[in-house]
Amino acid sequence: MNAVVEVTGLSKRFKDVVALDDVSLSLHENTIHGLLGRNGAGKTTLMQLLTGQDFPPHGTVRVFGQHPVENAAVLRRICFIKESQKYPENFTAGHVLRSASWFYEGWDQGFADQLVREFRLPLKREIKKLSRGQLSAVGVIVGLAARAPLTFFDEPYLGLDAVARQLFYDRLLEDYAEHPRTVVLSTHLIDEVANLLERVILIDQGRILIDDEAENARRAATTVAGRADAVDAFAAGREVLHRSGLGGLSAVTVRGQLSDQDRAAADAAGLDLSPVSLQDLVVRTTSGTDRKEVA
Amino acid sequence: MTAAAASLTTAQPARRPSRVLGVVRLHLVDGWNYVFVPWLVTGAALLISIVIAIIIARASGGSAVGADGFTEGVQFSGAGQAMFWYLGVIAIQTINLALPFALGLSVTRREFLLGTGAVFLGISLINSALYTVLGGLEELTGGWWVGTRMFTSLMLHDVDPLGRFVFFTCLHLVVFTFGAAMASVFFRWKAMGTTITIIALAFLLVGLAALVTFTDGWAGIGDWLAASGTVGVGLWTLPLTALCSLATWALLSRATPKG
Repeated sequence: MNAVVEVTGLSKRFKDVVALDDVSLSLHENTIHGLLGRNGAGKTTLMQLLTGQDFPPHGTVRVFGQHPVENAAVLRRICFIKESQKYPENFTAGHVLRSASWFYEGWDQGFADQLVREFRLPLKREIKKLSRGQLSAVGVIVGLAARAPLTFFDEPYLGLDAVARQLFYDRLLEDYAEHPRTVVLSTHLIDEVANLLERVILIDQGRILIDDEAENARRAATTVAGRADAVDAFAAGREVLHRSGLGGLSAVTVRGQLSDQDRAAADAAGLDLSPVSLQDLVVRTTSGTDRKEVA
Repeated sequence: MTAAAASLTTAQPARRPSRVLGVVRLHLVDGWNYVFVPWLVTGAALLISIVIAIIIARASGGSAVGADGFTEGVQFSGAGQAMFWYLGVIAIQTINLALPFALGLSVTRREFLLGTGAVFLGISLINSALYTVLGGLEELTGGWWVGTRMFTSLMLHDVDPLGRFVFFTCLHLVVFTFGAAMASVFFRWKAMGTTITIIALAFLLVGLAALVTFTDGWAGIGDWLAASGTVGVGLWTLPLTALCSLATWALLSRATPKG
């Protein structure tokens, strides 16, 4: 396994808010990563730093082994699709796709044409007259057809309907299988993409909480349900992420992988164990309210 | 874990299309911004000038076309400015919208500015050549048969075609680069930075005016303008153009597109 991106000790602050706080991570070659976290967690800041759009004040960023900032050799292998992308005045979706084809060596016009048909994107309509979903389709098509070795999708499907979102997941997986590349998917729709992700990076208040294989991340917490007293006894001494109860029954989400002994003990106490969905895990681990302020 | 195997030296095609050229094509892929609209504006301005000249001629009692083929008193139309205002707007939009778009396509700031500079220069030369030709036609037809002057107006009255071409080119470049520099201030420092910059420029201009007045220098400046001539004044915009270009480069080299 090779690291396409290596970040060490990366920090960035905006006035009174720490956007990234001593972040270290690596992105693995030819892997689909989920970059998860709440609004303002630092996801977009991180991607802006990795794509050379922003400048790292502290720490080092290496993309394909080099500094990304103003480095054409690195940047030409990166595609960064973001929800808030601006387009030149009067541009149509057709102009955008033509322009993109000039900057990506891996651009596949046939694939782009196919995606335009499938997403039903009107090529001759001005960008500013497109619906929110159509605008997202423009970004998704550029990101897929560019076949950049390192592709970032930052909230790529705002306004896309369920059919279009499924189309995106399907085409991404199919094309990824034929043309492996490193993909970073930043999204709020965690359950929808959970099966796509091979690695999960969870970021909250500028810190990396989880950076692991998706399988391990899913085992990082377990929900224990049963009689309240038995649940409490089981949960004693463990980190409880969430607790809910009804009458004499209760359910508690505990952090950490369970050993075989734990499972046997739970079984003996008549408790039900169930894995936590990725979405629940993210909700449970990032729902704190404290907000770091910079003195 | 090493990045070596994912290094840049492996498996790259031998020959690549220039990305600076890509930026040039990006600016021109939609012909409206840089080509059609400026000439639409110019064409409309010329047409309006001609109609106004006819109205004035009729209102003042028929043929007022003078011995040199031009109408006395109404001959100088300011309509030639129209395109330049629009080009300033284009330069602002280029920084404000095309730059974030290009950065989104993984273009470097350097590639973008080189490509944009090439477009500014190319459009300036082509437009100025056409303006010069239209100026020749204007003289040939005695002001489009109604005695109005748009391409040979005021300062360009007695300047030869080469001089006009130089003057138009300089004017284009200073408008493009000044627009780009102001837009770069906004791109880097947003509304507050732009406001402060405009206030600072206003103070600078007033300060210069005061300086000239207190030192009784206006006559000297008048003499200098007269001595420089139209082409000379045009050439004197080049330092300003250079300054604006440098400012744009310096501002954008550390700028980040914000959502």
